[in-house]
Amino acid sequence: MARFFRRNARLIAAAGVVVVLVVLMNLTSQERHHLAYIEQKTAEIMAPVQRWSYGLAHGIRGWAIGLGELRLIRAENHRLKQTLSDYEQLRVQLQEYRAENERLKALLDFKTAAAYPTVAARVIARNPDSWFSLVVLDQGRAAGLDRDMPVITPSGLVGKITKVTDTTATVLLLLDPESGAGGLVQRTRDTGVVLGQAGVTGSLRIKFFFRDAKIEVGDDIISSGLGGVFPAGVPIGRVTKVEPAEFGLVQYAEVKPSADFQHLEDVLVITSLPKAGGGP
Amino acid sequence: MKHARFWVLPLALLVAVVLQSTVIPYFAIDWVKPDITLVLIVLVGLLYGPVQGAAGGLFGGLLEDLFTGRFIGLFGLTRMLAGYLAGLVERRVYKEPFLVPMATSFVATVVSETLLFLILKLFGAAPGFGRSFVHIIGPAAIYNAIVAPVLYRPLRRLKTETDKGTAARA
Repeated sequence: MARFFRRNARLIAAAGVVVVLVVLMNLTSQERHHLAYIEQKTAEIMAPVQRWSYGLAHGIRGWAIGLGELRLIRAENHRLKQTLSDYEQLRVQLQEYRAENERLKALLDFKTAAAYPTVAARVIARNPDSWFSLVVLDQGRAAGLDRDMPVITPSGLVGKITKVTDTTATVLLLLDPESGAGGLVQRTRDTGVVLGQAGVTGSLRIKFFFRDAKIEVGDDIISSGLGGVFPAGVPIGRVTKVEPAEFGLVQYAEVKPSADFQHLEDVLVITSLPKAGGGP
Repeated sequence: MKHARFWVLPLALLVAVVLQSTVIPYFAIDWVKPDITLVLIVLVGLLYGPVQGAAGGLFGGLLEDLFTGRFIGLFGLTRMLAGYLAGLVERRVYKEPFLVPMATSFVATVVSETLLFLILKLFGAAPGFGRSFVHIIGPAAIYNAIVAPVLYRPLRRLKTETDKGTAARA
Protein backbone atom coordinates (compact mmCIF):
# COMPACT_ATOMS: atom_id res chain seq x y z
CA MET A 1 0.00 0.00 0.00
CA ALA A 2 2.72 2.44 1.04
CA ARG A 3 4.68 1.45 -2.04
CA PHE A 4 1.69 2.14 -4.22
CA PHE A 5 1.43 5.63 -2.78
CA ARG A 6 5.16 6.27 -3.16
CA ARG A 7 5.21 5.07 -6.74
CA ASN A 8 2.17 7.11 -7.78
CA ALA A 9 2.80 10.15 -5.57
CA ARG A 10 2.66 12.61 -8.46
CA LEU A 11 -0.48 11.16 -9.91
CA ILE A 12 -2.21 11.20 -6.52
CA ALA A 13 -1.09 14.76 -5.85
CA ALA A 14 -2.41 15.84 -9.27
CA ALA A 15 -5.74 14.06 -8.71
CA GLY A 16 -5.98 15.71 -5.29
CA VAL A 17 -5.40 19.16 -6.77
CA VAL A 18 -8.02 18.54 -9.46
CA VAL A 19 -10.60 17.42 -6.89
CA VAL A 20 -9.92 20.48 -4.70
CA LEU A 21 -10.27 22.80 -7.72
CA VAL A 22 -13.51 21.20 -8.84
CA VAL A 23 -15.00 21.51 -5.35
CA LEU A 24 -13.83 25.14 -5.19
CA MET A 25 -15.43 25.90 -8.56
CA ASN A 26 -18.67 24.41 -7.41
CA LEU A 27 -18.68 26.42 -4.19
CA THR A 28 -17.90 29.71 -5.94
CA SER A 29 -20.19 29.27 -8.95
CA GLN A 30 -23.18 30.47 -6.96
CA GLU A 31 -23.78 34.11 -6.27
CA ARG A 32 -21.84 34.97 -3.12
CA HIS A 33 -22.47 37.74 -0.68
CA HIS A 34 -19.15 37.48 1.10
CA LEU A 35 -15.70 37.26 -0.34
CA ALA A 36 -12.99 35.01 1.02
CA TYR A 37 -10.31 36.84 3.03
CA ILE A 38 -7.65 36.09 0.39
CA GLU A 39 -9.85 37.52 -2.38
CA GLN A 40 -10.40 40.72 -0.39
CA LYS A 41 -6.73 41.17 0.40
CA THR A 42 -5.51 40.37 -3.12
CA ALA A 43 -7.91 42.90 -4.62
CA GLU A 44 -6.94 45.60 -2.12
CA ILE A 45 -3.19 45.04 -2.40
CA MET A 46 -3.25 44.87 -6.19
CA ALA A 47 -5.41 47.97 -6.65
CA PRO A 48 -2.62 50.59 -6.47
CA VAL A 49 -0.41 48.56 -8.83
CA GLN A 50 -3.27 48.13 -11.28
CA ARG A 51 -4.22 51.77 -11.09
CA TRP A 52 -0.67 52.76 -11.97
CA SER A 53 -0.34 50.21 -14.76
CA TYR A 54 -3.75 50.98 -16.33
CA GLY A 55 -3.03 54.71 -16.14
CA LEU A 56 0.34 54.26 -17.82
CA ALA A 57 -1.15 52.20 -20.65
CA HIS A 58 -3.89 54.76 -21.11
CA GLY A 59 -1.35 57.61 -21.17
CA ILE A 60 0.79 55.93 -23.82
CA ARG A 61 -2.24 55.20 -25.94
CA GLY A 62 -3.45 58.78 -25.62
CA TRP A 63 -0.05 60.11 -26.64
CA ALA A 64 0.15 57.84 -29.70
CA ILE A 65 -3.36 58.70 -30.78
CA GLY A 66 -2.70 62.40 -30.20
CA LEU A 67 0.19 62.36 -32.65
CA GLY A 68 -1.85 60.57 -35.28
CA GLU A 69 -4.84 62.81 -34.91
CA LEU A 70 -3.08 66.17 -35.09
CA ARG A 71 -3.67 66.41 -38.83
CA LEU A 72 -7.34 65.63 -38.50
CA ILE A 73 -7.93 68.25 -35.86
CA ARG A 74 -7.95 71.26 -38.16
CA ALA A 75 -10.63 69.81 -40.42
CA GLU A 76 -12.56 68.71 -37.37
CA ASN A 77 -12.33 72.17 -35.84
CA HIS A 78 -13.91 73.69 -38.92
CA ARG A 79 -16.69 71.13 -38.87
CA LEU A 80 -17.29 71.61 -35.15
CA LYS A 81 -17.75 75.35 -35.54
CA GLN A 82 -20.41 74.64 -38.12
CA THR A 83 -22.09 72.12 -35.84
CA LEU A 84 -21.93 74.53 -32.94
CA SER A 85 -24.07 77.09 -34.70
CA ASP A 86 -26.55 74.34 -35.54
CA TYR A 87 -26.64 73.38 -31.89
CA GLU A 88 -27.26 76.94 -30.83
CA GLN A 89 -30.49 76.84 -32.79
CA LEU A 90 -31.33 73.49 -31.30
CA ARG A 91 -30.70 74.86 -27.82
CA VAL A 92 -33.28 77.56 -28.27
CA GLN A 93 -35.72 74.99 -29.56
CA LEU A 94 -34.91 72.72 -26.64
CA GLN A 95 -35.69 75.47 -24.15
CA GLU A 96 -39.07 75.84 -25.76
CA TYR A 97 -39.74 72.14 -25.47
CA ARG A 98 -38.52 72.04 -21.88
CA ALA A 99 -40.87 74.81 -20.88
CA GLU A 100 -43.70 73.02 -22.60
CA ASN A 101 -42.74 69.75 -21.00
CA GLU A 102 -42.64 71.34 -17.54
CA ARG A 103 -46.14 72.66 -18.02
CA LEU A 104 -47.50 69.34 -19.20
CA LYS A 105 -45.81 67.47 -16.36
CA ALA A 106 -47.29 69.83 -13.84
CA LEU A 107 -50.64 69.20 -15.41
CA LEU A 108 -50.28 65.46 -15.09
CA ASP A 109 -48.93 65.81 -11.56
CA PHE A 110 -45.76 63.89 -12.35
CA LYS A 111 -43.05 64.04 -9.80
CA THR A 112 -39.72 64.83 -11.40
CA ALA A 113 -37.10 62.41 -10.24
CA ALA A 114 -34.12 64.24 -8.80
CA ALA A 115 -30.62 63.45 -10.00
CA TYR A 116 -29.41 60.26 -8.37
CA PRO A 117 -26.74 60.44 -5.69
CA THR A 118 -23.57 59.14 -7.32
CA VAL A 119 -19.96 58.37 -6.49
CA ALA A 120 -17.31 58.89 -9.17
CA ALA A 121 -14.82 56.08 -9.65
CA ARG A 122 -12.00 55.21 -11.98
CA VAL A 123 -11.46 51.93 -13.81
CA ILE A 124 -8.17 50.37 -12.75
CA ALA A 125 -8.33 46.91 -14.30
CA ARG A 126 -10.30 44.57 -16.54
CA ASN A 127 -10.73 40.82 -16.39
CA PRO A 128 -7.62 39.04 -17.69
CA ASP A 129 -9.49 36.52 -19.85
CA SER A 130 -11.72 36.64 -22.91
CA TRP A 131 -14.74 34.88 -21.41
CA PHE A 132 -16.13 37.35 -18.90
CA SER A 133 -16.65 41.13 -19.00
CA LEU A 134 -15.67 42.78 -15.75
CA VAL A 135 -13.88 45.93 -14.68
CA VAL A 136 -12.39 46.84 -11.30
CA LEU A 137 -13.05 50.30 -9.82
CA ASP A 138 -10.77 52.22 -7.44
CA GLN A 139 -13.54 52.88 -4.91
CA GLY A 140 -15.16 50.41 -2.55
CA ARG A 141 -17.24 50.04 0.55
CA ALA A 142 -15.38 52.91 2.20
CA ALA A 143 -16.81 55.28 -0.43
CA GLY A 144 -20.32 53.94 0.10
CA LEU A 145 -20.38 51.41 -2.74
CA ASP A 146 -22.17 48.10 -2.40
CA ARG A 147 -23.33 45.08 -4.40
CA ASP A 148 -26.00 45.57 -7.07
CA MET A 149 -25.42 49.31 -7.41
CA PRO A 150 -25.79 50.46 -11.03
CA VAL A 151 -22.81 51.95 -12.84
CA ILE A 152 -23.17 54.52 -15.65
CA THR A 153 -21.14 56.92 -17.76
CA PRO A 154 -22.54 60.12 -19.24
CA SER A 155 -22.97 58.25 -22.53
CA GLY A 156 -24.85 55.26 -21.16
CA LEU A 157 -25.45 52.33 -18.86
CA VAL A 158 -22.34 50.30 -17.96
CA GLY A 159 -23.34 47.53 -15.57
CA LYS A 160 -23.73 46.71 -11.90
CA ILE A 161 -21.42 46.00 -8.98
CA THR A 162 -21.11 42.32 -8.14
CA LYS A 163 -18.17 42.27 -5.74
CA VAL A 164 -16.97 44.86 -3.28
CA THR A 165 -14.03 45.20 -0.91
CA ASP A 166 -13.18 48.18 1.29
CA THR A 167 -11.22 49.91 -1.46
CA THR A 168 -12.29 48.27 -4.73
CA ALA A 169 -15.45 47.20 -6.53
CA THR A 170 -15.91 44.78 -9.41
CA VAL A 171 -18.49 45.69 -12.06
CA LEU A 172 -20.26 43.12 -14.21
CA LEU A 173 -20.54 44.91 -17.56
CA LEU A 174 -23.70 44.78 -19.65
CA LEU A 175 -21.57 42.91 -22.22
CA ASP A 176 -21.17 39.90 -19.93
CA PRO A 177 -23.30 36.87 -20.84
CA GLU A 178 -24.60 36.71 -17.27
CA SER A 179 -25.72 40.31 -17.37
CA GLY A 180 -29.28 41.43 -18.03
CA ALA A 181 -31.10 44.77 -17.82
CA GLY A 182 -34.62 45.90 -18.58
CA GLY A 183 -34.67 47.97 -21.77
CA LEU A 184 -37.24 49.68 -23.93
CA VAL A 185 -37.42 51.07 -27.43
CA GLN A 186 -37.60 54.81 -26.93
CA ARG A 187 -39.74 55.38 -30.02
CA THR A 188 -42.37 52.69 -29.52
CA ARG A 189 -42.07 51.96 -25.75
CA ASP A 190 -41.79 48.21 -26.46
CA THR A 191 -40.03 46.62 -23.49
CA GLY A 192 -37.49 43.83 -23.52
CA VAL A 193 -34.41 42.51 -21.78
CA VAL A 194 -30.94 43.65 -22.82
CA LEU A 195 -28.50 40.76 -22.66
CA GLY A 196 -24.73 40.45 -22.93
CA GLN A 197 -23.14 38.01 -25.28
CA ALA A 198 -20.30 35.66 -24.46
CA GLY A 199 -17.43 35.66 -26.85
CA VAL A 200 -17.39 39.37 -26.34
CA THR A 201 -17.82 41.20 -29.60
CA GLY A 202 -18.78 44.53 -28.10
CA SER A 203 -22.45 44.23 -28.95
CA LEU A 204 -25.59 43.57 -26.94
CA ARG A 205 -28.87 41.85 -27.77
CA ILE A 206 -32.34 42.87 -26.78
CA LYS A 207 -34.96 40.18 -26.39
CA PHE A 208 -38.67 40.98 -26.74
CA PHE A 209 -41.23 38.62 -25.33
CA PHE A 210 -43.67 39.16 -28.16
CA ARG A 211 -43.15 38.66 -31.86
CA ASP A 212 -44.64 41.86 -33.16
CA ALA A 213 -42.44 44.34 -31.30
CA LYS A 214 -42.18 47.30 -33.61
CA ILE A 215 -38.46 47.77 -33.87
CA GLU A 216 -36.25 49.21 -36.58
CA VAL A 217 -32.56 49.66 -37.20
CA GLY A 218 -31.49 52.95 -35.66
CA ASP A 219 -33.97 52.82 -32.77
CA ASP A 220 -32.58 54.02 -29.44
CA ILE A 221 -32.79 51.63 -26.52
CA ILE A 222 -32.97 53.07 -23.01
CA SER A 223 -33.27 51.39 -19.63
CA SER A 224 -36.83 50.67 -18.52
CA GLY A 225 -36.17 50.63 -14.77
CA LEU A 226 -38.02 47.33 -14.52
CA GLY A 227 -36.28 44.89 -12.21
CA GLY A 228 -35.30 47.59 -9.76
CA VAL A 229 -31.50 47.45 -10.18
CA PHE A 230 -31.05 50.02 -12.95
CA PRO A 231 -32.59 53.50 -13.09
CA ALA A 232 -35.08 54.21 -15.88
CA GLY A 233 -34.26 56.36 -18.89
CA VAL A 234 -30.51 55.82 -19.15
CA PRO A 235 -29.29 55.28 -22.74
CA ILE A 236 -28.22 51.71 -23.46
CA GLY A 237 -27.55 51.68 -27.19
CA ARG A 238 -28.83 51.78 -30.74
CA VAL A 239 -30.33 48.93 -32.77
CA THR A 240 -28.00 47.77 -35.54
CA LYS A 241 -29.81 44.65 -36.71
CA VAL A 242 -33.30 43.26 -36.25
CA GLU A 243 -33.47 39.48 -36.22
CA PRO A 244 -36.77 38.38 -37.74
CA ALA A 245 -38.92 36.33 -35.39
CA GLU A 246 -39.17 32.79 -36.69
CA PHE A 247 -41.31 30.24 -34.90
CA GLY A 248 -40.60 31.25 -31.35
CA LEU A 249 -42.50 33.70 -29.23
CA VAL A 250 -39.54 35.99 -28.79
CA GLN A 251 -37.84 38.46 -31.05
CA TYR A 252 -34.24 39.63 -30.90
CA ALA A 253 -32.34 42.68 -32.09
CA GLU A 254 -28.65 43.48 -31.99
CA VAL A 255 -27.70 46.67 -30.14
CA LYS A 256 -24.52 48.71 -30.31
CA PRO A 257 -23.96 50.01 -26.78
CA SER A 258 -23.83 53.76 -26.10
CA ALA A 259 -21.07 53.47 -23.49
CA ASP A 260 -17.58 52.98 -24.88
CA PHE A 261 -16.82 49.65 -23.24
CA GLN A 262 -13.46 49.24 -24.87
CA HIS A 263 -12.07 52.41 -23.33
CA LEU A 264 -13.86 52.77 -20.01
CA GLU A 265 -12.07 55.28 -17.79
CA ASP A 266 -14.30 57.21 -15.39
CA VAL A 267 -17.70 56.01 -14.30
CA LEU A 268 -20.45 57.01 -11.89
CA VAL A 269 -21.91 54.60 -9.37
CA ILE A 270 -25.51 55.34 -8.41
CA THR A 271 -25.63 54.78 -4.67
CA SER A 272 -29.39 54.88 -4.24
CA LEU A 273 -32.38 54.76 -6.52
CA PRO A 274 -35.66 56.46 -5.71
CA LYS A 275 -38.34 53.96 -4.73
CA ALA A 276 -40.43 52.81 -7.67
CA GLY A 277 -43.57 54.79 -8.28
CA GLY A 278 -42.59 57.80 -6.24
CA GLY A 279 -40.35 60.83 -6.27
CA PRO A 280 -37.09 61.19 -4.37
CA MET B 1 17.06 23.22 -5.31
CA LYS B 2 17.22 22.89 -9.05
CA HIS B 3 16.53 26.53 -9.76
CA ALA B 4 18.23 28.88 -7.36
CA ARG B 5 16.10 31.89 -8.25
CA PHE B 6 12.85 30.04 -8.00
CA TRP B 7 10.95 33.16 -6.94
CA VAL B 8 11.54 34.82 -10.32
CA LEU B 9 8.92 32.70 -12.08
CA PRO B 10 6.03 33.29 -9.63
CA LEU B 11 6.91 36.98 -9.72
CA ALA B 12 6.86 36.95 -13.53
CA LEU B 13 3.45 35.25 -13.44
CA LEU B 14 2.13 37.86 -11.00
CA VAL B 15 3.39 40.66 -13.26
CA ALA B 16 1.83 38.90 -16.26
CA VAL B 17 -1.58 38.75 -14.55
CA VAL B 18 -1.38 42.46 -13.63
CA LEU B 19 -0.39 43.42 -17.20
CA GLN B 20 -3.08 41.12 -18.55
CA SER B 21 -5.75 43.03 -16.62
CA THR B 22 -4.43 46.53 -17.26
CA VAL B 23 -2.20 46.96 -20.32
CA ILE B 24 -3.11 44.02 -22.56
CA PRO B 25 -6.75 45.16 -23.13
CA TYR B 26 -5.22 48.05 -25.09
CA PHE B 27 -3.71 45.49 -27.48
CA ALA B 28 -7.09 43.97 -28.26
CA ILE B 29 -7.86 43.66 -31.95
CA ASP B 30 -11.62 43.56 -32.44
CA TRP B 31 -12.05 42.43 -28.80
CA VAL B 32 -9.49 39.62 -29.13
CA LYS B 33 -6.48 40.00 -26.87
CA PRO B 34 -3.43 37.81 -26.32
CA ASP B 35 -3.26 35.92 -23.01
CA ILE B 36 0.32 36.52 -21.88
CA THR B 37 -0.25 34.67 -18.61
CA LEU B 38 -1.18 31.54 -20.55
CA VAL B 39 1.76 31.99 -22.93
CA LEU B 40 4.14 32.38 -19.98
CA ILE B 41 2.75 29.22 -18.38
CA VAL B 42 3.22 27.32 -21.65
CA LEU B 43 6.81 28.54 -21.94
CA VAL B 44 7.58 27.57 -18.33
CA GLY B 45 6.36 24.07 -19.18
CA LEU B 46 8.32 24.05 -22.42
CA LEU B 47 11.58 25.11 -20.75
CA TYR B 48 11.34 23.41 -17.36
CA GLY B 49 9.20 20.30 -17.82
CA PRO B 50 5.68 19.02 -17.07
CA VAL B 51 5.73 19.27 -13.26
CA GLN B 52 7.02 22.83 -13.24
CA GLY B 53 4.63 23.67 -16.07
CA ALA B 54 1.66 22.30 -14.15
CA ALA B 55 2.74 24.08 -10.94
CA GLY B 56 3.19 27.38 -12.81
CA GLY B 57 -0.17 26.88 -14.48
CA LEU B 58 -1.88 26.21 -11.17
CA PHE B 59 -0.32 29.29 -9.56
CA GLY B 60 -0.92 31.67 -12.49
CA GLY B 61 -4.42 30.31 -13.07
CA LEU B 62 -5.44 30.73 -9.44
CA LEU B 63 -4.20 34.33 -9.53
CA GLU B 64 -6.49 34.93 -12.52
CA ASP B 65 -9.30 33.21 -10.63
CA LEU B 66 -8.91 35.64 -7.74
CA PHE B 67 -9.39 38.50 -10.18
CA THR B 68 -12.48 37.09 -11.81
CA GLY B 69 -14.05 35.84 -8.58
CA ARG B 70 -16.45 33.44 -10.26
CA PHE B 71 -15.83 29.70 -10.58
CA ILE B 72 -12.60 29.90 -8.59
CA GLY B 73 -10.41 27.04 -9.81
CA LEU B 74 -11.55 27.36 -13.43
CA PHE B 75 -8.36 29.02 -14.63
CA GLY B 76 -6.24 27.08 -12.10
CA LEU B 77 -7.37 23.78 -13.58
CA THR B 78 -7.29 24.72 -17.25
CA ARG B 79 -3.92 26.51 -17.04
CA MET B 80 -2.45 23.61 -15.07
CA LEU B 81 -3.34 21.35 -17.99
CA ALA B 82 -1.76 23.80 -20.45
CA GLY B 83 1.51 23.93 -18.48
CA TYR B 84 1.60 20.16 -18.14
CA LEU B 85 0.98 19.58 -21.85
CA ALA B 86 3.67 22.06 -22.83
CA GLY B 87 6.01 20.28 -20.41
CA LEU B 88 5.53 17.02 -22.31
CA VAL B 89 7.09 18.69 -25.33
CA GLU B 90 10.15 19.64 -23.27
CA ARG B 91 12.26 16.54 -23.82
CA ARG B 92 10.89 15.50 -27.15
CA VAL B 93 11.53 18.40 -29.43
CA TYR B 94 14.72 20.22 -30.23
CA LYS B 95 14.15 23.72 -28.91
CA GLU B 96 14.40 26.19 -31.73
CA PRO B 97 13.06 29.58 -30.71
CA PHE B 98 10.20 30.14 -33.15
CA LEU B 99 8.10 27.29 -34.40
CA VAL B 100 8.20 25.15 -31.26
CA PRO B 101 6.96 27.89 -28.88
CA MET B 102 4.42 29.01 -31.48
CA ALA B 103 3.00 25.55 -32.12
CA THR B 104 3.05 24.61 -28.42
CA SER B 105 1.24 27.84 -27.45
CA PHE B 106 -1.31 27.32 -30.18
CA VAL B 107 -2.12 23.73 -29.20
CA ALA B 108 -2.00 24.39 -25.44
CA THR B 109 -4.34 27.40 -25.84
CA VAL B 110 -6.84 25.38 -27.87
CA VAL B 111 -6.81 22.46 -25.39
CA SER B 112 -6.89 24.64 -22.27
CA GLU B 113 -9.62 26.95 -23.57
CA THR B 114 -11.68 24.01 -24.82
CA LEU B 115 -11.58 22.47 -21.33
CA LEU B 116 -12.59 25.87 -19.93
CA PHE B 117 -15.47 26.02 -22.41
CA LEU B 118 -16.64 22.53 -21.39
CA ILE B 119 -16.54 23.39 -17.67
CA LEU B 120 -18.49 26.60 -18.29
CA LYS B 121 -20.95 24.51 -20.30
CA LEU B 122 -21.43 22.26 -17.23
CA PHE B 123 -22.29 25.33 -15.17
CA GLY B 124 -24.56 26.57 -17.95
CA ALA B 125 -22.47 29.71 -18.41
CA ALA B 126 -20.86 29.02 -21.78
CA PRO B 127 -21.73 30.62 -25.09
CA GLY B 128 -22.52 28.42 -28.09
CA PHE B 129 -19.89 26.03 -29.43
CA GLY B 130 -19.41 27.80 -32.78
CA ARG B 131 -19.33 31.23 -31.21
CA SER B 132 -16.77 30.17 -28.61
CA PHE B 133 -14.43 28.78 -31.23
CA VAL B 134 -14.82 31.51 -33.80
CA HIS B 135 -14.74 34.48 -31.41
CA ILE B 136 -12.65 33.34 -28.45
CA ILE B 137 -10.61 30.16 -28.76
CA GLY B 138 -9.44 30.36 -32.38
CA PRO B 139 -8.35 34.02 -32.39
CA ALA B 140 -6.76 33.68 -28.93
CA ALA B 141 -4.74 30.65 -30.07
CA ILE B 142 -3.42 32.56 -33.09
CA TYR B 143 -2.64 35.70 -31.08
CA ASN B 144 -0.90 33.65 -28.37
CA ALA B 145 1.16 31.80 -30.98
CA ILE B 146 2.38 35.15 -32.32
CA VAL B 147 3.29 36.42 -28.84
CA ALA B 148 5.07 33.21 -27.75
CA PRO B 149 8.42 33.69 -29.58
CA VAL B 150 8.69 37.24 -28.17
CA LEU B 151 8.49 35.98 -24.57
CA TYR B 152 10.50 32.84 -25.27
CA ARG B 153 13.92 34.48 -25.63
CA PRO B 154 14.06 36.38 -22.31
CA LEU B 155 12.67 33.36 -20.48
CA ARG B 156 15.26 31.04 -22.02
CA ARG B 157 18.01 33.46 -21.10
CA LEU B 158 16.71 33.53 -17.51
CA LYS B 159 16.81 29.74 -17.41
CA THR B 160 20.36 29.55 -18.81
CA GLU B 161 21.53 32.06 -16.21
CA THR B 162 19.89 30.34 -13.25
CA ASP B 163 21.20 26.97 -14.45
CA LYS B 164 24.72 28.40 -14.68
CA GLY B 165 24.40 29.96 -11.25
CA THR B 166 23.29 26.66 -9.74
CA ALA B 167 26.07 24.74 -11.50
CA ALA B 168 28.71 27.19 -10.28
CA ARG B 169 27.56 26.81 -6.69
CA ALA B 170 27.38 23.00 -6.84
